[in-house]
Amino acid sequence: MSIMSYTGGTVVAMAGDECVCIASDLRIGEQMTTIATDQKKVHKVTDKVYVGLAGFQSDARTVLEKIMFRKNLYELRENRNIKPQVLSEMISNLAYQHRFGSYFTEPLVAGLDDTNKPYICCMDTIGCVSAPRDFVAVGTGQEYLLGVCENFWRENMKPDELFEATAQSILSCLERDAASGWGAVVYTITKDKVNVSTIKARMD
Amino acid sequence: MDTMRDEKRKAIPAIGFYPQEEISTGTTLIAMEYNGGVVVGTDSRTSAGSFITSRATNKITPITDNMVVCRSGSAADTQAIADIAKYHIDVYTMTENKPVTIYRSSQIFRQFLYNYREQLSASVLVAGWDEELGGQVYAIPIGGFVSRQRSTASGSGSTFVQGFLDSQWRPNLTLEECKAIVKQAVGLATFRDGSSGGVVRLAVINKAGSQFELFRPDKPGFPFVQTPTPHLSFPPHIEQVL
Amino acid sequence: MATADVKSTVPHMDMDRGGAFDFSNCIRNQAMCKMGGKAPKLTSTGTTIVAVAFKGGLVMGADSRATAGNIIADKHCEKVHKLTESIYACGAGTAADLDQVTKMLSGNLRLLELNTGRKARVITALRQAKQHLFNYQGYIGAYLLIGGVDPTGPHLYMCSANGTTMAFPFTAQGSGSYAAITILERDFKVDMTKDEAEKLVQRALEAGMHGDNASGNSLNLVIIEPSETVFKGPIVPEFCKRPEPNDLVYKFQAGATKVLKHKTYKYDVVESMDITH
Repeated sequence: MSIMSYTGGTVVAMAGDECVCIASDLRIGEQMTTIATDQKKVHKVTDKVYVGLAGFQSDARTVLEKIMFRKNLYELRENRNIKPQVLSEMISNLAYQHRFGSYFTEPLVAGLDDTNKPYICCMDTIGCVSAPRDFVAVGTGQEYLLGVCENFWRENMKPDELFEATAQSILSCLERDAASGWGAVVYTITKDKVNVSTIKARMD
Repeated sequence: MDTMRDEKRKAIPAIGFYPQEEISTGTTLIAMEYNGGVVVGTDSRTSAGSFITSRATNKITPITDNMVVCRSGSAADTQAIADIAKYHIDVYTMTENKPVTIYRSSQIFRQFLYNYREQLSASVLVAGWDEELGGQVYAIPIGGFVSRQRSTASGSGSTFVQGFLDSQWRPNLTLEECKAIVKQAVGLATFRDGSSGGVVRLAVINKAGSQFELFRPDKPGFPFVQTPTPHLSFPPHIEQVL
Repeated sequence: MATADVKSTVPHMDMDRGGAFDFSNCIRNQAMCKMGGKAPKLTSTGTTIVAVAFKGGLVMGADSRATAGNIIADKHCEKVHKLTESIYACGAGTAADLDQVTKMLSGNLRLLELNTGRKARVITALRQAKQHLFNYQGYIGAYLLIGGVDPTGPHLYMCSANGTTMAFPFTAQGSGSYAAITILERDFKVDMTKDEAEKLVQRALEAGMHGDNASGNSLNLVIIEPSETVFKGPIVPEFCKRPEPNDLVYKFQAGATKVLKHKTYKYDVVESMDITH
């Protein structure tokens, strides 16, 4: 079994019109045994920038601490909020520093920059950034999500449309991914607020 | 005398290492002394496994005006060694304000090829001319043992022409005689060796410096090989074209 | 002063080790792999990259697909990396390695240009790449085509992960290179016009994208001449298009998804403008 699917978990993000959505499931397991059902894999970095960490969750927590450390340092040095583009470059460099002994986590960044342009990107475990304009997914349900998002995503979605599309995508994914599940949480980030919705999903 | 180490490096997924086929110069290198200097000849094929990455490689690397090095083995290793040795030889030339002898240069090459013999798969022929000893050829196979040779062949194609070279060399060859022998030797070797091929490159190093020559299969002067016409492969009642 | 405090303590922490690699997880990872855990799939460019020299200039091109195993990780990834105004590098191999190596090269070359007040040369870029990659003995999986025009003319080189370099009039690299090189071998001529070279590169790339599953989606070209550098792309060949447009529109009604808990966090809106261009 791959180390990347040891704890399971999936994160997806979609970009809309001046808004982004990032969602994750809530399960943590030890291979097929479910250990916890309330673990979000999406973490707040600043008001408008969120990071998702799929993969081996022990490493994900370590990486999250390192990300927050670097982000805090950046904000102290620069005295301004970090942009999602900058954060992704930072995480990429952090991951690449561990090129020959990587953390088993695939980071995903979603947020709005200071002009409220949406930015989403995902990386592999050693920090190869791919930043498409539509959607990204990482984790055990990546394959299912990429397929379903290909049809659910449309150009210039408004926040409520975007929420529905993201939520339905991850729900579809949870139907077929045994390593993810037990509910999902969706963050809809817009220029003045963020909506956090816990959605009903399969509990098995 | 000169073996190619062709162990393939294994993938190490834990550190994300997935090697491709290593690029190597499965080569034919010939070098020979004549009465005023040396002649070296090489093929021009570079391959990665069975794929020919380059069919017009220059395996004769000039180090100084009066010295060249012919590389065989891993292309990366030999290029790096040639770069490093050239740097050292250039520094010695500048600090001492006189050319480094061919013998000393061969010892500089040996220093790296011997010290790093576990990590490298490189072998070279150092050929050149100096005031002290005239034309010289030093062969340094894998492992870093240096020996001066009057006539030598190296690389995977060398096995096919060792006997030919032994039969052809004699003291006090003229330049034209020597060039003809070297060219024909490369032609014979590339004909039989699958990892040698392409064009034939010759270099003449003598008092005047180095002159380089190129012989292409589509231009006159290329050393083609005439083999005996074969017998019919099938019984005579089957129509066959020879 | 808070900044100063932080700065003085930073060097003792795990930041800023000068960009060097951190091997602290190596032993753990190898142990985990030995225990039967499979290592994660890395993003590979699984590429077709092609470059051709013509009279006075150079055309380089790449497809835009990045793969992680059988998944298309990125449909529009940029494999033509800019090193300087007139030197470009196309990459094949491990995508993260290529991004970082080309980033390092472009940084160093820019510094060189600023320090010397001259344009950087292609051979300088090549040397840096070669020595860096040889140092790491092939463990950095970057296979590069480095090409460009400098005051000494147009140059095209290949640099492989273990540090081999070669000069070429035309070449291809990556998993689709076998298909691409057949087209180049057949149609390459010395001293082609810019148009001919551009068409040839595009044809070779299309052959690679057609014949190799790890290449596809779209192609990017860069045409480098002494006077100017033109970037073209993404160009989507006919066979890379989706066969028929999807007229089914999945649109969910607002409230279609059942929400269990809902919370809204409002924050102050800070108006700012885009000053990046």
